[in-house]
Amino acid sequence: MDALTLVQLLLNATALGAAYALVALGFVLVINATGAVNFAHGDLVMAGGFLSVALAGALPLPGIVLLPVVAALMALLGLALSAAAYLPLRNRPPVSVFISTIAVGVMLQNGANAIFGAAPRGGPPLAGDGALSLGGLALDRQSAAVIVAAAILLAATHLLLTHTQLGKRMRATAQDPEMACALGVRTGRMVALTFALAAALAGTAGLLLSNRYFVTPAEGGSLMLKAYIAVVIGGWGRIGGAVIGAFLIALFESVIAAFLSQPVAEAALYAVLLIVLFVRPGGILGEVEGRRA
Amino acid sequence: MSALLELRGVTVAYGGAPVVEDASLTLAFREVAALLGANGAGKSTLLKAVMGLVPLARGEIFLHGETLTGVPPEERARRGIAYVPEGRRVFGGMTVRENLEVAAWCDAASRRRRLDEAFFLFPQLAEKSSARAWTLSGGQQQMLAIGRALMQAPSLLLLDEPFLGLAPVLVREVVNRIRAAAVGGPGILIAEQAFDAVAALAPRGYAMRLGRVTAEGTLSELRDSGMLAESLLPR
Repeated sequence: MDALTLVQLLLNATALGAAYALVALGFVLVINATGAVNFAHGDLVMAGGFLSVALAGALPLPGIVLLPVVAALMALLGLALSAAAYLPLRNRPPVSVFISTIAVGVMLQNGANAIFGAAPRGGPPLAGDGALSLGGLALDRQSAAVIVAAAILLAATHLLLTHTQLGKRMRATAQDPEMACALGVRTGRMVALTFALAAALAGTAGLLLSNRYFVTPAEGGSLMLKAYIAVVIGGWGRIGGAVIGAFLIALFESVIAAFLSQPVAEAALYAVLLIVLFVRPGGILGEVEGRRA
Repeated sequence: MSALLELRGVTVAYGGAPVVEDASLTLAFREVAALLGANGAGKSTLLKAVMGLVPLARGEIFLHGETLTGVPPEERARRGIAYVPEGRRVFGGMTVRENLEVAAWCDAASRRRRLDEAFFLFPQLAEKSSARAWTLSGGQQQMLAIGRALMQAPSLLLLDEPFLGLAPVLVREVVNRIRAAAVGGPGILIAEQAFDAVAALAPRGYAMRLGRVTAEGTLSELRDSGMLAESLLPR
């Protein structure tokens, strides 16, 4: 394997990892805010992918222009998800939310199947096809655009959570909802907004993945599993850990798979997961106490 | 003129068993009063009831003469009640500055001013403004919890065992900070077992025992009457 191919592989892995990082980030934000797992999260990525396909069919615009539209519409879907599947059950045991989100996921999956069919569909390229020439290297334009877009989204989410009163109140709600409530925070609203943010991140990840990897109604389950693995590897409840875990999964799926094979790389990833569970049960960054669901 | 806080016949029950029973008390504007009693006397539950964190089985609570019945905790906070719980409950994963900022319901300029005031009152917090709250010592966390409550610019401050687990030197420091915060500030209701510490702050107080308010008076009256000694006995 020559150096150019390796660079291209690493670029692909980074692009895939960046998209997975958006998925895992939204997943962990909801875990932290609710103490429960949103099993519809992978299906939200799928929904974002199909929304991108539909929008690109109706509006012949590049993905980068459609991205904020997808994010806004998916945020509304996240609000609806929280209203239907979380807020009425918030005082019940977490298993109620597991079941309700699984139900919503199945509805999204079947809805996509009914509207778009089971065949894979390709989403819009983010900023055109072709290659970028950089110092003698021909870099895939789509991969580079996905990395830049995901980096901007990750940075924007970080800024929202750390530099705005809204973000601080979302984090306070996630850490101690009763105390946040006693400080005047409308915690139900913060949780609903967290669902909205998570769905927006999932939907934009769906758009970013839909061009290169296509989108099918049934892919939500595997994306959900990847998000779960990313969070377990990185550290349950750790935002940074989820991002690290996402990039690790992408590394296996892109680079390790190219050296070995896709099935072997997947087996190796699960072997790493088991090793992490044995050696460092709390994940790479350690588990946030009392959050495991 | 109506009191800042008035409790009339408040009863709180967990699983049908009353934890606080028929408790009545009043707190005047800018008054500092103590709620004294042993562990399990019902002090913490009474403060939680004022904050709206536990439902009332019977009775009514008034703030500024207006009933708080049906008012959720977040709305009570916005109406001027600030609560410092036992065990501090600072947001450990957030910085000191973020812990303070999150409690300020005002525009950015007022928030900065209140932050300056909090850092003036608690200089140790200013030095640690970028540190995660879980890295602070117990005394510093207590100051952060009080500072966070003051960021709400409350008219009523509820302090639940603010001296619990603090070394004597830190107790004196926290007493001094609370005294400074009380000057021209909110009315303060302090639930405590540490009589000496609270006597330095509150001229008047109530004794609680087995969920009931058993005596009311100046702290010296409570101490001399023997009611306090009885209240501070464990169940």
